[in-house]
Amino acid sequence: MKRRLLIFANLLCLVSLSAHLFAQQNLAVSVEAQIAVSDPDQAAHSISLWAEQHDGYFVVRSLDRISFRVPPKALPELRAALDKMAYQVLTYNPAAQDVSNELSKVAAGITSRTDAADRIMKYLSTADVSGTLAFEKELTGLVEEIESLEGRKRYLLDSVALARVEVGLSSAERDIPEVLPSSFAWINNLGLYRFLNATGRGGR
Amino acid sequence: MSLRVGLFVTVVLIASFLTACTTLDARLTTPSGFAEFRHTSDFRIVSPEGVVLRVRTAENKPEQTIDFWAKTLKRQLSQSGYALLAEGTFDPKELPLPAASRNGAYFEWSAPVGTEDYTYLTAVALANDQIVIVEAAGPIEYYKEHEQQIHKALETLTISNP
Repeated sequence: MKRRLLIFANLLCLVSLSAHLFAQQNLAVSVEAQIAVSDPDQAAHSISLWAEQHDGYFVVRSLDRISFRVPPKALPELRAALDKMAYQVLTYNPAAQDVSNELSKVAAGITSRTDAADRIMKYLSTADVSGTLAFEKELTGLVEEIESLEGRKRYLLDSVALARVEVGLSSAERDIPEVLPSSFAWINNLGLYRFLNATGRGGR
Repeated sequence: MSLRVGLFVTVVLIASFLTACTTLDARLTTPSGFAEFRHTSDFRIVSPEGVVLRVRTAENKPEQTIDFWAKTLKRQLSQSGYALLAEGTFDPKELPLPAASRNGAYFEWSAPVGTEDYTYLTAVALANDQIVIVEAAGPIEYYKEHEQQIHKALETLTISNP
């Protein structure tokens, strides 16, 4: 009876653990895009405003690119926003990486090293001089490893909480097209400004 | 004698003037949301936001294929400084040509007008001895709204004598 109960309890643990793992899928989302804009400075400003309105912030902003962070839930609206702001969206590459596995490894690494450090601390009080020196050296190494793993954990959790977006800004051609003569009469009658004038829409 | 020559020259001039005036009526099906201009020499439609489209014809002289004219048009506007946004082909089913040669080509360009960016569409198709030329333009954001309709309308091009 006891054995059956034990098996049942183990099964229950397994089921709840797997459910927990599936529910806790940690995705680090990123987007890389390149857009053509007529005014890169204005576009960078508009994009940073958009990020702020969506609970994000910009990391780097220059005349040729802007990097910003936003919650992943804002990303479905990003493409439409860039379409509105840009002259043309040249590339748009979203990507996602499941970091659950790495997060588990990092957490396990921190736990094992913390346990090891605790054990060393217990031995430290009873050790002689040479033993103390060896333990201290070991402890220093463990603390460094724990700090490094904690940093990695913070980075991974931050990547899950906020998506990274990198938008390259290409300056679109602003020069006014010239009128070049052609050997063919109908081609000579083409041209945006000529067309706008002919149809009464103004232009140059 | 000189009177006869003068009369002959006058008749020839009038005949050639009338020939020049006899243009073919090229048009397409007006997409919803566009209004057609009346009493213009060529077919013109306009949207409330100012996206305008015009269809006209020119003689296919020297007689060339659509590929030739498409390449010439593309080269001319590229060299003039227009930025090519998109290009493609379309099938103007109503034009009086066998299906094999009944293709058309379009190019979408961009250029600034004042502080605004405009999209400028140029499309060509052949119809017997004529080149059918379609031009459309409008502020980039408004043109985008009508882009699909304009592409569909290109396939409804027709040509007839007025």
